[in-house]
Amino acid sequence: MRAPSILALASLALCACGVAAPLGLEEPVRVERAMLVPSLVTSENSAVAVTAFENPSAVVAHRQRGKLITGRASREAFALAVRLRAEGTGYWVLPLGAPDPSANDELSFEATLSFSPALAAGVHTVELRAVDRDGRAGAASTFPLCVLGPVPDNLNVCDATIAPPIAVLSLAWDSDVDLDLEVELPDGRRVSAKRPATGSATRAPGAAFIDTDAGAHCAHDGARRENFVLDEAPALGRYRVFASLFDACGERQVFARATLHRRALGPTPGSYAQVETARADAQLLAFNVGAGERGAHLVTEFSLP
Amino acid sequence: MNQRSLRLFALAALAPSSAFAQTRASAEPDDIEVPAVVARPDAASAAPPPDATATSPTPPADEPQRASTERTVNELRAMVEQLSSRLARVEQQRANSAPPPRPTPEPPAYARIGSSPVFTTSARPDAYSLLDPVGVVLSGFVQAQHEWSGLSQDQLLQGVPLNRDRFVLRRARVRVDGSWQWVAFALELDANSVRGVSVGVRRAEASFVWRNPGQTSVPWLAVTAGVTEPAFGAEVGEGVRRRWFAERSNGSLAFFSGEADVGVRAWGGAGVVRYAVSVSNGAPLDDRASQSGLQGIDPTAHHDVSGRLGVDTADPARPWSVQGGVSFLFGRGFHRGEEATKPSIEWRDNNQNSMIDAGELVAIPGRAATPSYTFAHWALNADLALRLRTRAGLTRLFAEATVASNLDRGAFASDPIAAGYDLRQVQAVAGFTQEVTPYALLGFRWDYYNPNSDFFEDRRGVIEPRDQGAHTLSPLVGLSWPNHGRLVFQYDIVLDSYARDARGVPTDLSNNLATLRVQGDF
Repeated sequence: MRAPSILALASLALCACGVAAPLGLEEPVRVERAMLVPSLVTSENSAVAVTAFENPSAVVAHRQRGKLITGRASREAFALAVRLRAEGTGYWVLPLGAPDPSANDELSFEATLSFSPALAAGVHTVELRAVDRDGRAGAASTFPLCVLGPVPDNLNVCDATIAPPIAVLSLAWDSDVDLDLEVELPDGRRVSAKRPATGSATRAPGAAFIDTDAGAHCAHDGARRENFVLDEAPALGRYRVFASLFDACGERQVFARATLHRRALGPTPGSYAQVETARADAQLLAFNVGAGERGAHLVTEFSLP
Repeated sequence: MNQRSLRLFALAALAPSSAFAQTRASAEPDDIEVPAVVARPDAASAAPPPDATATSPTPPADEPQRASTERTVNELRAMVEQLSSRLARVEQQRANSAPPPRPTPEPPAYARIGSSPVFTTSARPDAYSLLDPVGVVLSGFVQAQHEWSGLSQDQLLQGVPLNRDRFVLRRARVRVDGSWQWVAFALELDANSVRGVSVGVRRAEASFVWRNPGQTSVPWLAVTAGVTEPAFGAEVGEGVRRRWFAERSNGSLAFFSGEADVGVRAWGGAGVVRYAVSVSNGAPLDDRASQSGLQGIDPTAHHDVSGRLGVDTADPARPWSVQGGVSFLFGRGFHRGEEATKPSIEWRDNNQNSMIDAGELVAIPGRAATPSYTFAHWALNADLALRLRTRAGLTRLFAEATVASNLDRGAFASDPIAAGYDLRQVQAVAGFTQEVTPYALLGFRWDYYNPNSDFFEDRRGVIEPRDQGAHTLSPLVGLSWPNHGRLVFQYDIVLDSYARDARGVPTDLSNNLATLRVQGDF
């Protein structure tokens, strides 16, 4: 009896004990200041529960960081567990905060969520559970969250009855450089970072516009993408797409990919979808910097209708 | 045994008198030598030697002479038996009272190399190579290893790779020593790849030495200036070349991220007493590449003062020795001020619609610079080590403990200005190494470090103490080719509270570490 005990203690000491603390960058959602726990014992009849929560917006942008969920849990709870239902490898667990005297001393929480770029665009379900002193999770409180994709779609991914733009030309690249998307319209005018829209207002109805100037002045935002959006009633004809390397920002080269996304009918009557219809790749080297419009690299061209 | 047989044969052949033998035995009990020629005091001794008798024919009718011969033979037989038993007794006594084997004489304090007497052994007891005829000692070693860590992830965190399962060149060092009657110097360069390849100075010191003629390894007084070791505790001064454990204990690494600092040190000893006092910048030089802008640069005019008073009973004539001491350190740390900032605009997406709405743009005014501050830090330390050489090999037991305030400079960077209170540290380490023949070694070390004994956190609205301490259990096994190479495997079991369980309560983090290291020396 003694020998097995000693063996058990020795094996316990030599095993890779402890709780792993992965960054969780592969997870679809991350929660700041929380630990990723692979599994939880759940009990729908548990005495602890999330009693209230507040979600300011049901829509999150692609790769959004810092989405705040606040709320309260019952006084007996110890921690809050958060995950996207049926996604990821576990729950994010964070300790509960101070009691709220205005709510019967229920324990407050603040969960700050960040969303993975690999998370599929569409509606997901966020699951909140309170955890008791024995590590058992109570009943789930859920709410839907619509995650947008990197290409503008007028929230079509959240509500299929909303029509996406007629066409979106999206240029994405792989390095932290100041690369500008330039599009030559059928009438010969150019839309670029200097003139991002055809109309007076960038997002005026019927206007064609470039949504952002990513990496401007080498201030990198991580997006590495610019979109040329053709909303209602675009000019018909041939569009030529250029990539202009304004500043290499110390990089030697950059690979860029242009994709064209067109409006299509959805599977059900009255619904729409956005589908990718074409793509083209380009490589720009550092010595292409500063060539301006005349030196911009022709990536692809497309025609409407 | 052969010598003993020859002596008995000589006794029988020469037939000494029993009286003479007994006199000699009582006068010189340890002397077992027998004279080759002795006088014959009585008539019986007139008989021819036994061998001669045996070879000569005896007259058959001479009965009285035959009786006399038999009597003489019987007497001789009795005497031989008596002497045999006495010889056995004397040899047993000698074996019991034999003095311990004389130790191998200590190598000379210095050797003449070229035209200068160089104190090779006292300056570098672990050096194996002499650069002749320049008159200096050249030595070096390489430590390459593979690590496995429970913390390893193939990710980056703020630009720093988190992978810990990797090959590492931990140390590659070349050292030159010169040591003469009054002066000594040492220069040691290091290269490693711990945080990217880096090359730096590990030691660059010049010393004035007042030598003790009776004790070659420790001078009366030595004053050393340059990049040298602070006088504090035992671990910092323990040579990384001879240390079996892969690294110093966590606490020692937190107090001194590197073993060297720029300063001046006075040290020496008399008899078993050892002393050392140092004044240094208080910015230890980490041999690993820098991760912050101020590493190795002292931002304050205040120097660290440290000292150690101890004993060392090491004596080659004894199989055991004791080393121990108490140390102190005091100085000032640095709280970094902030640079002035320009006015800026911040967008706070309050409704989280990813668009700028009314009230979401906030003006951040420019802010004036804030001054830097210094704060006091101090530490007290005690260390003890026992060495015992047995037939199995050298056994070494060691223990060391430190209490400190605001001294963490390598792990959690104590900053009482930011924390609002003094941060207390506790460090302890104990363990042993056991040589198993000169070619193998076993060891075990326990190490505890708490960077902030007063750390609290808010859980469920309750301020609760949170233990930041970590215990590390480090068994190791090693193979050695004396003076030329080592192969060591060490497994660090780290028990801490750096993770959280499903309740959000701190629990042990999976951060055990295994190290397989090969070391080559010259």
